[in-house]
Amino acid sequence: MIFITVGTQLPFDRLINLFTEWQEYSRYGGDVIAQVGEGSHFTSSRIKVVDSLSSDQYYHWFSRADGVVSHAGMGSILSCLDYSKRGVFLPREYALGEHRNDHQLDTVNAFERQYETLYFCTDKESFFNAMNVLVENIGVEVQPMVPKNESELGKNIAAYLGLGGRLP
Amino acid sequence: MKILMVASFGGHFIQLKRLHQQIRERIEGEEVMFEFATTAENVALNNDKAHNFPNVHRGSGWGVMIVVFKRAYKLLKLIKPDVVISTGALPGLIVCLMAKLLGKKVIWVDSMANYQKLSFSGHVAKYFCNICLTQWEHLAENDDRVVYWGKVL
Repeated sequence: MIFITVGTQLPFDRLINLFTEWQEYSRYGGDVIAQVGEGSHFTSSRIKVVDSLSSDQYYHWFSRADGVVSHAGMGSILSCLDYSKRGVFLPREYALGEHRNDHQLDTVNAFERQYETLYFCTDKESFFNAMNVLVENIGVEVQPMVPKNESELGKNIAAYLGLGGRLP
Repeated sequence: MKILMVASFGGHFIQLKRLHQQIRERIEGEEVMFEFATTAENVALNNDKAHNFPNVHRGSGWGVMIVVFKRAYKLLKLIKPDVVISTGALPGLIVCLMAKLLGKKVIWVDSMANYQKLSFSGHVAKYFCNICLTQWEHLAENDDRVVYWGKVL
């Protein structure tokens, strides 16, 4: 099953339409669940569509997915790492009216090539390639992420607040 | 000590949950109580129900803004936190601003999504929060008001 999510704010039909094109081309026959955002008019006989999801529903689908397709939002990126899922990401673009600014392009710059299971795309060709890789790797286990820091941020905030400072 | 953590539902709240986990790992027996607030209903964290806070963005009118400021005041009077920590976005900023006016200690943690520059809310937060944190080292380099202490990842 592939889980598509566009986040909690605006719809992102460009992503959903691109996925549908790929689905047509690849003849992918697995189930697809798509969270398309409130205000999206997308319907499909081959995709189960929901506007929005509660936290529990989100993680229900997330944890069962063979792969995730998403806008380049931090929630989806972090959840892919937490749940050891391969993810294909397309950033929302300000010029196309898909967000209030271009911070998702910045997020892509930050995360691109940092994790071999997260694929970032900006056009149809790279999206199709990433989807093909995602599907080829269904069943191949993703190694759990090893944290790079020792909760440094939490440690520093706790120390600033005078907590957790009692070292032996 | 009572800490209120507030963030919009979605990616901001996922970062809040990770930050909460990181802070808890560091607490060694001190009396710390956490409360949470987010822009969706019926959200729980560690079996604690998060308070609901209205969603608001830059396009919302002044009428909505005034209502949201009042809600921020009510929330803070209800919870009475010593410290407020927000991981974004505008609703979190409003709670932080009201908390500062009420004399609380306030910490802003800008979203990891902002790699090239601080968010709009972060740019406002840095002028009044006790600490304004970015999660990217290079964004703290040329701004005395912004600090890098690590990431939620």
